[in-house]
Amino acid sequence: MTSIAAALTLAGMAALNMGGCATSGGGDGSGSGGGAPGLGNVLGTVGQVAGGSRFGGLGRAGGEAAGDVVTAASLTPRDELAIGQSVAVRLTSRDGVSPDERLNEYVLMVAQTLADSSPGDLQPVAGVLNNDQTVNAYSGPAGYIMITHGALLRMEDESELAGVLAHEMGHVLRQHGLKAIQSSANTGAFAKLGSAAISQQTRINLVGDLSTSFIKEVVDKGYSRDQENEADEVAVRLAAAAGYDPNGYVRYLQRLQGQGQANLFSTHPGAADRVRNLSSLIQREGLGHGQVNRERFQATVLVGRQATGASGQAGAGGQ
Amino acid sequence: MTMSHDRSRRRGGRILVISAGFVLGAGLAVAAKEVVVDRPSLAIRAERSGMDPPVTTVTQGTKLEVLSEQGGFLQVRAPDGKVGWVKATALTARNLSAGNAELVRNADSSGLNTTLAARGNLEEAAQAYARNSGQSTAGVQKMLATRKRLQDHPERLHEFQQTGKVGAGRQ
Repeated sequence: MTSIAAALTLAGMAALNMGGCATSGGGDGSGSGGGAPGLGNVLGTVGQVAGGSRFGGLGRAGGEAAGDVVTAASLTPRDELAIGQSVAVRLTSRDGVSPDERLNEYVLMVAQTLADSSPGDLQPVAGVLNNDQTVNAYSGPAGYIMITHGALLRMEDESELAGVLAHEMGHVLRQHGLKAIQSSANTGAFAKLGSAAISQQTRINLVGDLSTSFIKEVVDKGYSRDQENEADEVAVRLAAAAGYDPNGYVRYLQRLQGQGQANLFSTHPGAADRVRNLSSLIQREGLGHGQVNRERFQATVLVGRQATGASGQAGAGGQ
Repeated sequence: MTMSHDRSRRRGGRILVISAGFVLGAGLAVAAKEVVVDRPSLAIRAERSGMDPPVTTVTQGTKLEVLSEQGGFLQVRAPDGKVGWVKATALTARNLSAGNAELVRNADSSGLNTTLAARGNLEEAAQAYARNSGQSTAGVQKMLATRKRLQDHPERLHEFQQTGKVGAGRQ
C-alpha cells in the first residue's frame, strides 16, 4: 500500500491514495486495489498535463533547477499524450466514467480553474470513475485526471475536491510520473523513441510499453513519500492561488483518517506529520483564506451520495 | 519585425495574436505586440514559474500589450496597468505564418500536447494500446467529449468561476 502520498501516483497519472493500501497489489493499474476505501490514490497523478517542459512539468517552466528536470527528450508531445490516454483507457475501461455529465463537467471545471492559476498552460481532461467506491484519484500525462466516485462521496465541499485535484497536478508539475518511468528498465524504450529511424509501428509498440510501465510504476506502486510531500505543498499553494481555502485539503485528509478509511494513516506514521506540516504551512504563509463552495458541491454530488448511501458525514466538514 | 496583424486562434482557446513585432526565443520574429485573451480566464503572474496568486486575472477578449519574451513566456501589460507573465504556448499556431508557427512549437512543445488534447483526438498509439489489451476507449472518449463541450462554451467556466468566486471570479 502506498501512503497517502504514495498512493497518489498513477503516473502519468497519479493518484492520491489516502486510503492507502488499496493500491498495493495489483498490477491491474488500479491503484485502488481491493482494500478498504482509501484515498490512497485520490490525488493521483495527473501526469503531464501541460506545463512548462515537454513533459508537462508545469512548475518547471519558470526556471527551476535544470538538473531536476526530466529530460526524456525522446518523448514527443504525442507520445506523452498517448501515454496519458492509455492510462485513462486502463482506468476508465475498468471503472467506467460517470454517466452524470453534470458531475464530470463540475470536476473538470474545478480542475481547469486550478490549471488557470498554475504557471503553465494546462487544459486538463477530467472525469469521475463511476464504479470505484474506494478513495482515490489519478492523473496522467497530457492532463488526464480521474477521481473515484468513492472519493467524491466522502468530501464535503469544493475546496476539498480542489485540494485533491491540485495534489494530482502537483505530481505533474514536479514530473513525478515521468521520473518513475524513466527508470533503468525503460532506458531502451526512451532511447529508441529518440531515434528518428523507427517505424510508426515500433513507436506505437514502445509507447504501449511505457504506458504499461507507467501503470505499474506509478499507479500500482505509488510515489515516494518525498514526492507526496512535495505534491501536498503544491496542492496547498495551488488551491490558494485559485482562490480556494487550502484547509479543505487538510480537512479531507483528517476526515479519512478519522473514519478509518485511510488505512494509509494507520500504516504510515508519517501521514499525521503531513497534516501537521500542511497546517503549519497554511498558517505560516497566511494561505488559509478562500472559498469553500459547499452548497454547489453538495448540490452536484449529493445525488450520487444518496443513491449509494455512502457516508460523507463524518469529520470536520468545512464550511 | 513586420506589422502583420496576424490573427491566430487555437481551438482550445488561448490568445489571439493581433499585431506585430517582437522577437521570440532564438531570434525568430513573432508577429505580435498585442494579444487578445481567447480563453475564459488567464492568470498573469509576477514570476514565470511561481504559484503565488496572480497579479491580475483577465478574461476572454481582453487585450494585452506584449512587452518582452523570455524562456517561452511573454511579459504583458494588462488593461489595469499591471505587468506580469503568461506562457507563450498560449499563442496558437493556427493561422500563423509557417515561421511563427514553428516558433510557437519550439517555444514549448507541450503546447502541441495541449492542443492535441484539446482537439479530442485519441492517439493512434492509445487506440492500439486499448485494442491490444482488449480494453474500451469509451470512457476516454466520454471525457474528451466533456472537455470539448467546455471549450465550445467558455461562458460556462466563466460563470462557474464568477459564482464561486474562484479563478478569474476572485476579483
